[in-house]
Amino acid sequence: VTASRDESTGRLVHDLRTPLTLILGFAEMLHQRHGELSPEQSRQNVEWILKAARDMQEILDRAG
Amino acid sequence: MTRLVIVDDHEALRDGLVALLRDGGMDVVGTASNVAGGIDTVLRCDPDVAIVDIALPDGSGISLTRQLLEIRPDLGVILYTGDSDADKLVEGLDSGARGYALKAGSMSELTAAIESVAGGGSYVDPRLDRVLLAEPSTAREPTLSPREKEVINLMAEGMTAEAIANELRVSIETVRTHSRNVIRKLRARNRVHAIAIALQRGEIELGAEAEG
Repeated sequence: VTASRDESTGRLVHDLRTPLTLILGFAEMLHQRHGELSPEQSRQNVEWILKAARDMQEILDRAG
Repeated sequence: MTRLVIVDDHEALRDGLVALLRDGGMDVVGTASNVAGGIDTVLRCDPDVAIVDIALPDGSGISLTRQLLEIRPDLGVILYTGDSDADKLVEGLDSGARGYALKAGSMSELTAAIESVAGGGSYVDPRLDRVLLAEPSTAREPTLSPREKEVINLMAEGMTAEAIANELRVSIETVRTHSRNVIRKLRARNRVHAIAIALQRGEIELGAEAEG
């Protein structure tokens, strides 16, 4: 039972890492290149962040 | 510009990484979602560096790394994972990957890893230092791949790199890369030292073929 719980926790962590990586990456780009990005590029970055955040929410909903 | 291939089964991550790395000045020349696709993409796109997820649907990224380096010994492989498990880290580095980056790292860290590996160097995420330091130095010995054993065995029989290349029907550069990997894995000072260590460890046996 413990091994199975460890495995599912490990899977959950792995699944959450992926969208989190994208959120951090695109947020980092927005933060560091704030003045250089066009409004369209900024909008696309925010869309990536939103999509990844929704993925995280879906993963957590499934796990809960 | 560094030519990159990304192998990860998560479509959103692949697409996101392509956008982020292209923005960072990298030339992403191909992507794949599994081991079979990874081999095909590397052969087709001829990248300098491959970013490989450890967990792929049809096998492990570590096994893919070994296969890629058999085909393209000069390829820089960065294992990219959310896992900081010590066993996987040691196994991953033994596979010949020159980079080990965590998904928890920032994009600038991943870019630094790519630049280091593309320039012939190596990279291990600094968060993994404590994992490596926690490993007793005598706990594990890197294992040689079957091909590396074959190469060191032929060296022990006195064959030159050129003769080995002819025997195995690979390029001299491939033989030299295997030889360098053997020296590194056995922590040897040179080829002769590597042969001595390999014999001592029982990785190879002199005259084994003649007796068989």
